[in-house]
Amino acid sequence: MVQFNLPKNSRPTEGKTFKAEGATRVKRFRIYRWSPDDNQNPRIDTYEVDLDKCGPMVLDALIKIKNEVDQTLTFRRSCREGICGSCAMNIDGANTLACTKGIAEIKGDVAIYPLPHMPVVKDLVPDLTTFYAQHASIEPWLQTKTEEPKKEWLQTHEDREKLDGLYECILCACCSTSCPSYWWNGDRYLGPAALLQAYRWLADSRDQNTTERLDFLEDPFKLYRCHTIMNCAKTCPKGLNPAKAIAEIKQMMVERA
Amino acid sequence: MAASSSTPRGPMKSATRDFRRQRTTALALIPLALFLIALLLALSGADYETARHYLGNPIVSFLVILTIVSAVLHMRVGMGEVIEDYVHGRFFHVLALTANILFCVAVGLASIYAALKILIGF
Repeated sequence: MVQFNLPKNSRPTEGKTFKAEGATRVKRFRIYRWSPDDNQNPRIDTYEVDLDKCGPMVLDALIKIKNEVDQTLTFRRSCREGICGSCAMNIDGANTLACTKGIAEIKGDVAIYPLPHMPVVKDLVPDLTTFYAQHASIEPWLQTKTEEPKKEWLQTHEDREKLDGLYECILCACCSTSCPSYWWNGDRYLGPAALLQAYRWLADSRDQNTTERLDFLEDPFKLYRCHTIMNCAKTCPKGLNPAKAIAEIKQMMVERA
Repeated sequence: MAASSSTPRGPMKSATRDFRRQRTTALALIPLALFLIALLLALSGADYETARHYLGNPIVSFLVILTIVSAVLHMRVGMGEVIEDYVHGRFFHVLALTANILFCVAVGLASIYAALKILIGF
């Protein structure tokens, strides 16, 4: 059965507090910490940050903490402008990118946890192995059967427009890890991110493997665990709507029957 | 090949069949539930003979049976979804799905039998 309570060794304890001496504009960051090395329960450390000496985004604060206060704090980041998806985490109760989430948007303390319901590698770094394997399973590349054209595969402007709202996905995993269905059945349900990408290729006028792609998704778990909860659309930091893409796939399934 | 009219045809497997069944029975149950409420209101306070007379009308009986079939099919798919979501162990999963089907078949057959008995009077 589904496990609703955290196991004993997963319950976070109160951790250390790092004061910002002499600061006038202080923001408190309460951050989930866990290391695989010390056999301890996770803890919530509190870091006070002087906003007068910090950039405007949550990622700026995390980098400042790591550089100036606590070098053991572990998180992923790369582009710092919302295009790589590395710094996806749960901030103030919602999955988003630390680099595009403004500190000023958050009232009170800033609670930061790793993406929900994923195995934690360390601190704010989740293990996304299954997530990436699911993305690979939908074979996210152009598949054709007819002879390759001499130049490129062409499509009309109208057909190209059908990919808007789909191709922009950066695979940050905010949507999949916000989905209760993915929490309960993350090993068998592909989740909103992989299904959005599946539809991105189903909707592509140049792709000729529609039947095979639909056959692959024809399964009680891979596709049909979506119950239109819509957390995915609500949380997507790129403003995409995976739930709509999933509904489009279901419609294609019914139409081809 | 894009969506809509150019979608290639193929065999409908159980997952899509269940999905479509859940939607179609849900739609059917909107008017049928309203009919059932109207029938119950009309029969509230009526004695046994009056109720039996109403339910013996072929049109009423047909609609009642249609409601039973739709509700039972909807119940079977809906409960099956819940089981697939939350019951994970292979043994309990199969057991719960089987029990769900048997329960729905039993409720459906008993209800239809009762409706037909009033209609035909055997």
